[in-house]
Amino acid sequence: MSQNSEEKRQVKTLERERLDLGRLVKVGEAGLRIVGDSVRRTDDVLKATGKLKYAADYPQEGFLHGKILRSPYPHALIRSIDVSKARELPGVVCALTGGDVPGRNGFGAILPDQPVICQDKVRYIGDGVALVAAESERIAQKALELIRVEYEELPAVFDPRDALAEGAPKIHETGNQISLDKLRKGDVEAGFAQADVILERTYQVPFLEHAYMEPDCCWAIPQPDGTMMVEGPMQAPFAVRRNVAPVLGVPINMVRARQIHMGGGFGGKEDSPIDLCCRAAVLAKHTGRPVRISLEREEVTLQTCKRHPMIMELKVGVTKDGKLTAFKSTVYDEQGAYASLGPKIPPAGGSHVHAMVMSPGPYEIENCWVDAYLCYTNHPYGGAMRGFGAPQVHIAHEQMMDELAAELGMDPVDIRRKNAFKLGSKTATSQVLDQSVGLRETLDACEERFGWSQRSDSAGWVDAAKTKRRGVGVAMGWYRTSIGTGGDACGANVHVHEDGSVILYSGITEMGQGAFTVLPQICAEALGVELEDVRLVKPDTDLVPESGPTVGSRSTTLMGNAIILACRQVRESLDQKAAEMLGVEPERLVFCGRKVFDRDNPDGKALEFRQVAAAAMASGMRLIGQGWWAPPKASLDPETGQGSPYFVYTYSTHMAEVEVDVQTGEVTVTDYVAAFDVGKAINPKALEGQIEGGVAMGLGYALMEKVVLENGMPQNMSLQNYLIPTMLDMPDLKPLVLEQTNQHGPYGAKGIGEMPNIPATPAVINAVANACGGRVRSLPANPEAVFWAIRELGGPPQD
Amino acid sequence: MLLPSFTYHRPGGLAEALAMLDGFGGQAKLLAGGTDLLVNMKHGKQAPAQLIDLDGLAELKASGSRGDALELGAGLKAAAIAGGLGGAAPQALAQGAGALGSPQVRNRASLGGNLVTARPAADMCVPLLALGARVALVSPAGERQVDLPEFFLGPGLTALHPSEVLTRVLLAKPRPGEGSGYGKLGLRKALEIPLVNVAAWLALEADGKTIKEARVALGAAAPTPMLSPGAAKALAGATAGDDAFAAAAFAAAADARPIDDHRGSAEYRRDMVAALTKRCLGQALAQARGN
Repeated sequence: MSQNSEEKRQVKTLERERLDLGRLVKVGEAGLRIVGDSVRRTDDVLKATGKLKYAADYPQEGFLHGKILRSPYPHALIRSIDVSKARELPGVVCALTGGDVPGRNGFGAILPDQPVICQDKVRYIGDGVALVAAESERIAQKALELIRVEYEELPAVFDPRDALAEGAPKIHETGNQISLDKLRKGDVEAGFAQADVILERTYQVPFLEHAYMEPDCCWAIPQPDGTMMVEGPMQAPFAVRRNVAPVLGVPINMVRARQIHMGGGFGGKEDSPIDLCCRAAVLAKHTGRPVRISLEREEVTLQTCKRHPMIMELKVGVTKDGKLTAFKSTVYDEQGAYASLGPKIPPAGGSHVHAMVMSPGPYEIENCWVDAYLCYTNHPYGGAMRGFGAPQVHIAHEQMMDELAAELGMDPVDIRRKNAFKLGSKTATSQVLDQSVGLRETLDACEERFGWSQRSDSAGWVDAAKTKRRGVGVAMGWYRTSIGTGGDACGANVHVHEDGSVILYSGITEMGQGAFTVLPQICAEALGVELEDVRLVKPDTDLVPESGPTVGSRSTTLMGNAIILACRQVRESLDQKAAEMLGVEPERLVFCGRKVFDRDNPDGKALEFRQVAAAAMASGMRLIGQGWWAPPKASLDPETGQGSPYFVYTYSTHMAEVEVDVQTGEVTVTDYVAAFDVGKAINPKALEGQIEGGVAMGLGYALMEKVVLENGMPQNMSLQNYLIPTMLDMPDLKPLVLEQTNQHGPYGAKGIGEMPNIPATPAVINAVANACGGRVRSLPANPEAVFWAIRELGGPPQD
Repeated sequence: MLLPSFTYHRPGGLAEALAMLDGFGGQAKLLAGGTDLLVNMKHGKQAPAQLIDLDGLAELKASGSRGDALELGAGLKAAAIAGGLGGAAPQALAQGAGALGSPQVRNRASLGGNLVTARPAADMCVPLLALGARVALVSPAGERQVDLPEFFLGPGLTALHPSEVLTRVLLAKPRPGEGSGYGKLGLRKALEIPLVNVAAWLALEADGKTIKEARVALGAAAPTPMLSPGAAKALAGATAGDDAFAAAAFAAAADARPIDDHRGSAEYRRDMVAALTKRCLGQALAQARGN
């Protein structure tokens, strides 16, 4: 994709730290050696040589193999289950039904509403009704075929609006509406009265599969002391532990969860390991033996969470000169069969709450009104996927911005510049953005690099035969760092040893995003040692402090701060000892590159870091640091949706050029520029990797991805028919990285994991509309959808 | 899912392969590239007890001409055909082979495998149909040759008997004044089964304008790759160009019997048959005229 990425990479620092705000982890910008350097990822050699072990590569000797019998119906009562034949099959060690769950028969990232084994009712195709453990996978599979289940089918609901209707079949006893949240700012009707143009549009997005390369796999191993150890690829080991313990009926300290290097997660492996580990643990508890569950790709599609589909009804008002006056939206966020990560966690956690807060876009609008519903249906359940509610609403507001611009005869860039957030802007929740707002700078940088005005002038026919038209599209975006739940803390331990080597204990997981590289970089920088001096202990709930989940673009920022605080505790000892040894005030010490010296006399005597560490240890001084960091308190009024839900945001602008074959509807993305305000790039090259992957995912969302469901049954269950972009579908991508320091972030950093995915989809869709005139408001804009959109217009523009 | 267990055989020559096939009496499957068979076995759709690997047989990998005929060994890899076989491969076939799967798949997949798997939109079957190909089927009893329209019987079904091996594909050698072209529509640009694919072949009269003969083959338009009789009729004797191609496209769309499924509607597929037919004929004409 970027053969010449060195040439392309631009990291531009916009602003240094300015103020000290409250619980600020303040660090000097000057003299950074390791932070800001594109050091090689710590796992890339292992990956490139095939030596890195994923869960499926681990030996299976001594393991039983677990299998799940799934419901063939989207909604049904279970009349009876007979597992006796399965139990009789040689090689089967146990076959379990709902009554066999030792503790709570329910799990869930937030609400434990999903049965480990369904007892009375199934709510989606994929619900587990029986578990089997056998000596081989084949025997376990065979045993499933011997289980007899009698169902009584119930009417099913597949549209969130139907689910909310009076008299709709009840999926859970609590009702189909999980939550309705409201955002009210200003007077939306007065806003519409000021508008010269008002547009109403409905945008719709489907369920998406994460399509992580590695199918889910986990195992549970009973330990001699009664502990249950569960291992597997997982984004949230602490959430796994929090669920496995009550399911087994034991306290949290009797469960140990360890992460194995993930082959991709994208949010999906926040939920699915909870499901698998609970089930494997129940089987292991019953048999007293290690049990492994490994899913086939088709099982992943059937069983695990998806990106939430949404229906978004927008009404937006704008003045003649492009100033937004009112934004109104009703969002139907489809949760599917189980609550998973969907529901609200006060003040501002939950997918529909996040969607609600972000739905008016990164624009100053005086009057906003949003109703966001989250409801159950008999579809697979929605979970986190790279943006958690934000990609969906960006697809709506960014298309709406272009539709308004077209109505006004304005350039899409101009209407955005007119309304975009700047320092001091008030969001739809009336949060004042008091720092680190580089949105307009991303627009300027993107516009210049892409050559927006020349390119938009040259949009139109590509070939003399008039089969292809070229067009350009822009989209802006914003995304929170952290999750807004009020309990979003991260802990880290740092141990310094007498030879100067360091162990860093962190519960943040690695799924390809680079945490195992970036976190040691921060640790090495904060202690003044080299990167190779720091060994990271992989997430293990017995060893590392609670770090929360690896989600919400929170890892670098929150864990980075925790690491700096832990390092600072150790530095207190080291400072004191080195001051003694050098005979200078501790304030004058510099720790850098394994040396310790006097700031005012850099060419004078220098100590080795290890000397100081050994001397401190010999004096009984503390060389173990523990840091905890939580973002500034989140707030969101439960009635009006007003407050400061997230403490800082990353900003971005994307520009895409596409060619549309107007006879077939095929779209080729031919060029792409994406600019980000990331606060501080800890590792610019790794960050660029996040950008490339995120844009690819966004392009897939725009043009091809959709879990096709018929009566609740996924129709495209394998990667042969659930299509994601290949290298050939990717444009030449030019990432631009800008740094508008985040005063609350380690070295000024903000989150980047999810942001690149978010504006990519609407940028491509807007480019398609610009090229061919047809706008696809219900995704994906696959060739057929584009073809009909052009047909609906009566053909492509002729100019 | 792991492969089910099977016994693997690697015959030293075609005669040995045929003897093995006969000896196993329907228990054996022939393995060439394995890009279809092994995948089906992993999914439990097929579970042959014996696999006879033809990949080592040099006699199945030869290509050359015999008189006016071009003979392509069934063991040729898609990658080799996509590379043009030193200029011998007709344009539409090389394009089709190049559109199949990904580089890894093309390095494994064989010409014969693509034919015997007989998917309705197979990337090499559709061009071969337009090119008027026949296949040579060899059994211990001898060889018979079957025209492709009689070879394809249904999705995954062919006229190949259990005791036979498809050894060669026979085509007329491309001559001046002839040309062919292939077009594929998918949701992405690699590793994609066509939503619709079309191949066209035409031969011009000596005047360089009048179409002497033409064939248009359609994929994903019926249970098997199919020829469009209407398109052939519309083109024969017509003056090559937009009008004739539009008429052929209209006829091809009328002949197509596509289905509605989650990948696309029948209505759209039918429209795409027409769009791709025009394009493929355009490519074929350009080649026929030496452009």
